[in-house]
Amino acid sequence: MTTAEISWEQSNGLLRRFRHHPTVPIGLSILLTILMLSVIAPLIAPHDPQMLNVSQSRRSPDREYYFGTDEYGRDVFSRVLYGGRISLRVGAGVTLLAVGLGTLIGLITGYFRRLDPVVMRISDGLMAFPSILLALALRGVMGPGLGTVIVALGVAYLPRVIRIMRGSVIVVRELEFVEAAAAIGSGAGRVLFKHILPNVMGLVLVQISFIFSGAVLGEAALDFLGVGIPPEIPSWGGIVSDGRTLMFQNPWLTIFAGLAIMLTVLALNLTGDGLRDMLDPRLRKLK
Amino acid sequence: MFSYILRRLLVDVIPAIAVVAVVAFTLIHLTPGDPASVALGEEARPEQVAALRAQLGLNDSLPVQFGHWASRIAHLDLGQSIFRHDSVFEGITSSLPWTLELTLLALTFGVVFGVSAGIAAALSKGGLLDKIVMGIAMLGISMPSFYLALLMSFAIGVKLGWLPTGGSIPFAEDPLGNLRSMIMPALVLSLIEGAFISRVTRSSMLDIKGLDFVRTARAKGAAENRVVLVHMLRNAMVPIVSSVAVVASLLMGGAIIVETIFGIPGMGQLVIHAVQNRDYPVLQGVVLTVAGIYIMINLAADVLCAMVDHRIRFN
Amino acid sequence: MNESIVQTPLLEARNVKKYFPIKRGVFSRTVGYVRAVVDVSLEIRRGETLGLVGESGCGKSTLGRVLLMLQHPTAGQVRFEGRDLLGLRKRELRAMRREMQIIFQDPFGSLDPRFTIGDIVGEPLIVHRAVSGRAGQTMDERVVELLELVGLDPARRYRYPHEFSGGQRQRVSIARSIALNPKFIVADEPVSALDVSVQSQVINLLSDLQARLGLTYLFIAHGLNVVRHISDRVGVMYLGKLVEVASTDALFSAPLHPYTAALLSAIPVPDPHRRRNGITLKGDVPSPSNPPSGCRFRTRCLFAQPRCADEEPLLKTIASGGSGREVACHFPLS
Repeated sequence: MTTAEISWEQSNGLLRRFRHHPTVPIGLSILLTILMLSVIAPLIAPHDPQMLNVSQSRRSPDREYYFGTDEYGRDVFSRVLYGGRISLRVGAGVTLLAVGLGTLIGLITGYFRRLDPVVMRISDGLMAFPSILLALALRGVMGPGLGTVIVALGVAYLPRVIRIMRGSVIVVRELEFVEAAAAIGSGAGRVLFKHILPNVMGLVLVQISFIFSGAVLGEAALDFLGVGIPPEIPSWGGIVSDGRTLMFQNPWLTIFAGLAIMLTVLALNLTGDGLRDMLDPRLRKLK
Repeated sequence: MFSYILRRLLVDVIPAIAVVAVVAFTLIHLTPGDPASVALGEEARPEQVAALRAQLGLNDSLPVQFGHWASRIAHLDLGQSIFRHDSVFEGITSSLPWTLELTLLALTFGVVFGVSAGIAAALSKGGLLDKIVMGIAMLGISMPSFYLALLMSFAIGVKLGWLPTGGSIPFAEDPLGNLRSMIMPALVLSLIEGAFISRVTRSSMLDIKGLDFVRTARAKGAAENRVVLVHMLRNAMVPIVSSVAVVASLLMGGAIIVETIFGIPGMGQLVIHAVQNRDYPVLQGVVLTVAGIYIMINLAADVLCAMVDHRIRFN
Repeated sequence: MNESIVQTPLLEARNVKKYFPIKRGVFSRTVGYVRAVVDVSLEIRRGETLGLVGESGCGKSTLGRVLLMLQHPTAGQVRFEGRDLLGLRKRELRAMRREMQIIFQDPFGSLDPRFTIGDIVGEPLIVHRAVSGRAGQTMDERVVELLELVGLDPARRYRYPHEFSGGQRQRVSIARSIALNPKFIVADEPVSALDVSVQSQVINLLSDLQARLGLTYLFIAHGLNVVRHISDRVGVMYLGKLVEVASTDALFSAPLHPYTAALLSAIPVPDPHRRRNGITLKGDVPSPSNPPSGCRFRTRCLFAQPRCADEEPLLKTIASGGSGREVACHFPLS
């Protein structure tokens, strides 16, 4: 059999599985669209998102300003476009930190039983903080900035990922092929990264979707509360916060940014739900 | 049962409290630079900074600081707020009741909505009702709570004028007015948490639906209501009750946001002012209190599960 | 088997014990032990197949794993070609895995679902950086050779385990175990999970490979009938102890231990007219965490005497029917 045939066969299997879980391709295509729009925002944004133009203050949506203008005459459409860059960047950073580190720690603690009780007690303790509160507190002591927001949210979500990954590693570790790998003389590194990790990879993908969605929501909430990134930078949470006092008179000030958050989070949750349903039944229970 | 609770206390609760204490203590030291001068800002005079350093006990070595701090905490002395003119303890005791009232109301609403919607969805699995309920639940977990809060206060509070859009009427002065002002914030909170509960309820009901004892109950001729409520729900309760810990976390996190929108002077307001002003003692106090409450709720949920399901005690 | 190569044992176990602690209570105190393997001593000779049988939970699989040091024994000695395996460092032990391999019972669980079967068979070669076939052979060539050796179509090496039947998967497992040209293989109930029609094919494959590659087997099985054709000698385990070891012929024609006799009479005989003076086992196997005093089998033994409760019978060599054989019973059958 040629390589082409194999990859065709595998992708065909994947497509077939997607047909039973249509939420995954739907979610992914929404996400891809949002990602694309954010990447090319500087090219397609009709106005400078930060440029003040008081003469154009609070214009309702028209052909010039698709989503209207805000109190200071800034173009809401351009701001929402640019806001996506912040949300996605924070989401990606937080996911990389929480899922990357969490998976690594989960793998190691799940496999080496000696470390397990200590790490579990610590992550149990960290779970006692609602993630938004922990993020708030960390952000409070570390000062404002994009990096701080990423670290704060990443650390806040870390214990959840550790727990879930550890649980799944414990399940996989007991499977016979892991013993088989040890029996042919594989070292711990090979067993962990060649055998256990690929078999929990589905769960890692699910975690990526859910942590990403939590991060987008969390970042928006921090910005809304005025303790996220610096207020002059356009972000979805910040836009809603700016427009909140006038949301009744000028609904366009908040509605598009609010919808953008919802759509992004919805797409991520749809993807995560679908991926979870596609998962190996042995791991499905672990959420 | 007693030995189960004891084991929980020793193995889970005490280590968790220790971790929480260490984290709360460490928070202040995560500040880039000197916490005292950062807190006071650039125009602070050196004597002010020195005084605050002394007040925060920053001049000792770390272990000594931790020792002093931990023994103060153990005596419920959470220190003095840097910006408010009261002690942290006073700040928390005046804010906590608001947050507790809000979250308890929201918990009640959320459990009622969530469990009944989850059962309804599970019973009509694949049907129209299932799709509607799960669709709403999906929107619920995807909706930023601050946005939902803004929309609801606009629709119900401003347009329809049914309920006040916020306020801080103390329960002691005007119980009815207080409750009226709390309903909408609690509803907002409960929708998000109810969405979560309904998903958990639905999936645990579906897990149980096909089990033998449910079929046996039907086979022996039990009425359908009895099968659902007595046989299925009772067994589905364990995952639902265990998810209360997650729910508590969601609620307390959500309360921070909802309180600021509806102007409720609870823990959320307290912590956000503390973050904005770098009021470290208040931050530490709030973090400790909330985590402590979470740990207690978690313990209660575990004990409740063990009472419902005897197998848990002998893990 | 040829007498001359029988002289030096390939593998030797002395007083091997494996206890699993039972933890309970607030501080996870150890409240007792599951005695999976108790004081087992045995030798496996070069080129032979030692069958090992016993009911589920008797410790036969644990013993197999302990002999390979996949599980660390609680006490005792294991020597492979005279080298003490317990004294080896982790790295040395991993290097030793080239010499000793295992075939697992579950043909579904023992193959990583994310690996193609070519990768599964080639993995030992990668781990030990060794294409141990003929000189100048590439890894792919070696994998093809191994698959052919176990009777699988090498063209299917890019496929995944779920595309194969149970018997074929077990062949993959066998190919993996012989990839490094080991001397010794523990076959842990290799056919128990297979259809009866496939069982004999796999057993025949194992005997062929033994003849071609000079392998030594410890062949673990549930019942005696499976090991009869492949084993030179057979050991019988009961509740963690080895109760009888004898050459296959001697064991089948004249079992000495009542438990062996009971297992033998459980084998169905394809002759409706033959009267069977069957010994049927009654009762359940006692708990391995709390075994009976004295002889462990006495609670289910038809011939138990008072002495059996007081004194534990040791595995002793008995000169019976010409060849030496071992049995642990105060009142062996004759």
